Amino acid sequence: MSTPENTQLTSIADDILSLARKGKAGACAVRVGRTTSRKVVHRDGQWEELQGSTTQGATVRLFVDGRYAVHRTSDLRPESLAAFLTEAIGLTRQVMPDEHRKLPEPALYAPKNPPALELNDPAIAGLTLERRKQAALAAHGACKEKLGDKGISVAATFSDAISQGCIAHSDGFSSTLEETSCTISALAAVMDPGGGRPSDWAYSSACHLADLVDPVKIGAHAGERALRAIGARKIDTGHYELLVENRACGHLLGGLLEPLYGSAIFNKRSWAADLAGAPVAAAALTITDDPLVVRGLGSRAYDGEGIGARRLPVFEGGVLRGFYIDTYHGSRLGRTVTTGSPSNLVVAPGVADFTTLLSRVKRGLWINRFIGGNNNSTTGDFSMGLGGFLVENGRVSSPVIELNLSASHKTFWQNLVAAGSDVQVNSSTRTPSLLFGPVLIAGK
Amino acid sequence: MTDDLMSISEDPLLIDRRNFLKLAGTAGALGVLSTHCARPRGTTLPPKAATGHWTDVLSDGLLARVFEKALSTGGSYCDLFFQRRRMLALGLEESIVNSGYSNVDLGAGIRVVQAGQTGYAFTESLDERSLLEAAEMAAAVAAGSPGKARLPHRASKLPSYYPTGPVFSSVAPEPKVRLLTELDAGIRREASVVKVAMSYYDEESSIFHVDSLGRSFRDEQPMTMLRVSATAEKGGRIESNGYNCSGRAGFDFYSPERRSRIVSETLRRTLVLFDAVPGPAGEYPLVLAPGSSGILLHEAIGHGMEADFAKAKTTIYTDKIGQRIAPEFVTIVDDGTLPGLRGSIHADDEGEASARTVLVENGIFRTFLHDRISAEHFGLSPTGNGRRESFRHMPIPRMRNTYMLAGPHKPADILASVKKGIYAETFTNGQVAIGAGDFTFYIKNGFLIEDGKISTPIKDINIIGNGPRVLENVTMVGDDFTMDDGAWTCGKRGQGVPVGLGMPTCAVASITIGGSRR
Repeated sequence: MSTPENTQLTSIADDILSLARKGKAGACAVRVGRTTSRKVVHRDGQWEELQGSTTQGATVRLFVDGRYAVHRTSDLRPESLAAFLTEAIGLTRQVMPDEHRKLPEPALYAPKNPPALELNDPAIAGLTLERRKQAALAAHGACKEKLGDKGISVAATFSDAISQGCIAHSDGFSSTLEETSCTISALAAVMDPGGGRPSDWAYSSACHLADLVDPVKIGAHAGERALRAIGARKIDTGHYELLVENRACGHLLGGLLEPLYGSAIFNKRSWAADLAGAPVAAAALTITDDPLVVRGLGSRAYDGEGIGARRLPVFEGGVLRGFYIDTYHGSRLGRTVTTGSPSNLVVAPGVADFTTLLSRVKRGLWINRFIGGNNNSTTGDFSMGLGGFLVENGRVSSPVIELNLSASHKTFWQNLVAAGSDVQVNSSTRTPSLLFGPVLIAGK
Repeated sequence: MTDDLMSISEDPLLIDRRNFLKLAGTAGALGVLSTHCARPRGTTLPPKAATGHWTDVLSDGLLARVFEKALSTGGSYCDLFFQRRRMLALGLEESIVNSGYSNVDLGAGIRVVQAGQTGYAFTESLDERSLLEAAEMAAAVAAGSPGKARLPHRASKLPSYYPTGPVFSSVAPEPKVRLLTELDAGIRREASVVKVAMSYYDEESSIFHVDSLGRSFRDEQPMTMLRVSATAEKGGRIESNGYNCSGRAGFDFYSPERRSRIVSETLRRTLVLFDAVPGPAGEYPLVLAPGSSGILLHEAIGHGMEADFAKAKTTIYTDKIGQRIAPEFVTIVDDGTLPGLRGSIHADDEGEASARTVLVENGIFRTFLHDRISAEHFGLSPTGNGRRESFRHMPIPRMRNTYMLAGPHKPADILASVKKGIYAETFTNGQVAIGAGDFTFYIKNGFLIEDGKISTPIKDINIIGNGPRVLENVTMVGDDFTMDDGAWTCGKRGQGVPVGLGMPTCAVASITIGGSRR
């Protein structure tokens, strides 16, 4: 993966390492990256935004006399780097020593020849402004047509990015990467005779252009979704089964994972710290953090510390297995270092498709979005607003709004009945829809 | 990707960051702050010129050539936004300041506007070639005959709502380190506290804006923020909470009074949780405590009153100007002119003077919040709300400090009017769908109200309502207006900007409380 761009970034990283050595830094980890991004947004006959830029920078983690600090600069000119390092080392000396701040164990580093993840699509570099505009216009047109006279406004966006980067550590570890991504999306707003102006959206996102869903389908889908939101009403407080649509599940899963981070455990903000091996969720829940998904949006050969990509079982048949532990917190807690940050969150699918799951719901909610809310990783409590559809005897009866779910992650996941077969691949959260048994929902 | 959810949070992680670089992802313990770049002062400067200012390289001749390129395709307006921002952060764990973070950002954003359409590009190098490339990219939005910028530009005089200059880079690291260790010691005097984590942040942003109408302004915007997290243990039960504060002020923001308030509030907010019970589910009367309850205004009406949504006709407040939307004792303003506040600005990021904009006057909806583009669309004057996260973003209508003025009622009478309800005191975040109008905010600390009195504490409970209906349902407004000093960041279209909130005690007749028991 040695392109001229990468060679240039690698030589900058090497310069920084040698300056750090001259400045008597004990250890140093450098990441240098450059991203070129383009975006076009079409709204109602106008180009609301045409954007294009390149951003670059170096992030330098310095270990000086047992002290640790991180520094970043976007000025990569050779004449600027020396002054940058001098000041960075000076500032690092101002914090207090901490023996737990160090580079990863070399054995954990990514191998010299990382697995082929196909994260780079050369076709994206060949995109022209015209092609981007055509994609956005196609999505826009399809959406507008779907909405007919109920439509108020449609915005369609095409965006893409090309990133090059390299990582180099003073202990000899180094690697480079090249990644691309592209997204087509449509946002539709419609008039509700009840006075509201509900909206909904659809999108497709991928590393490779060829994996993007047809913009026409995306536009039409956004339109359908917005039309379905018309006539939303509030319903009574009560117990409802929950069918959480795949793309809304990330909101729930994020809260479930929060107590699994080293920082949460270390700061005693984790209800799950001591629950490894315990059946926290129902058997239908299996989650793997998988950085090795080919063309996955969260795939990577190594994490921010250079730790090589490995599959991390997080839940297996409902049993808690894995934690996100970086080098610092691993040292602090005496726990095995895995990685400090998630890659692709892969939720194992079940066999039933969405329609089948829906048909199983007696009195429940098809949740197609969560709104706001937060969770308490110390106690497991969470509370989130939601919207979607009331489902009665397996049939969608009406759109609903202004509802809220409050529960505790400690017990909520025991309620999981089934995972669907409809895994979304548009995101690093690769999850199917999830069906839960009855829980209390706040409404009227 | 585009969606229509706007959010506010004291936790930058909760703000939508999808537009940011993957590469900027992890920067160690303070990675949260890593999207804002910074580096110690003085190192990104081009060779020193006459005055030694970093903008000295931007000669009138260079600006003219950039404008010429930007307007070469027929754009009707162009502006150049130059920014240099340095940032320092320090982190404390286990009673030691064991991590630091520094960053300097330098760059220019170039915008070309043609008939309401925007071309935008930025560069992180201020050399002529990079600036001209960015100008050409932005110019792609227009297709017509070349225009001309008015030069030389005339600088606007700015007011003074906050200190300018090297307010933080002139302060040595030692007092900043000491601030953290002293606060840590203060909090740990409470025996049940088992963990304290803290981060300190300061920033100096230097801005030079010049537009094709021949106008320019320069500003220096300081910002500081302190975030505290504490965990306590009592009889085997563990609770944690925190306290954040922020201001567009110098290091003297951390006055002795504020330091003791940080300690006492962190402890009070954490220890009260040991007595908290789960909140109820369903519709109840809500009383909002003075201060950060202004989050209700930000979500319920503020975003819906941003004029880009009115231009697209997607906000529920479209076509409601001049109509009564709240009782007559309700007046709500968005104000960028209050000294030292997080959301205050001397001018917005397109050079319009900051202002105190009355959104709702005695219950009547008066105006949307405008940037240049929306104001031009409606044939109105901008309101000074065109803000951006940095030179990497185009300006869009954003709030500044949003608050409700004091009303006629006594706080005690407001409480006494509620037989059974909820008293909401501290918040972590909120979100709104501006078209449907449904919004939420998350209560971290609150109380049950029973027979007109505050009783048992509650915690971790979300509230969900409909903006217009909640405004109509405001029944009483207290005479105890309080401005909040929280570290609020508002997220919209992938950009985070600092904002402020304020509120008197206020009662809402009925709203859905998202509790976990009947």
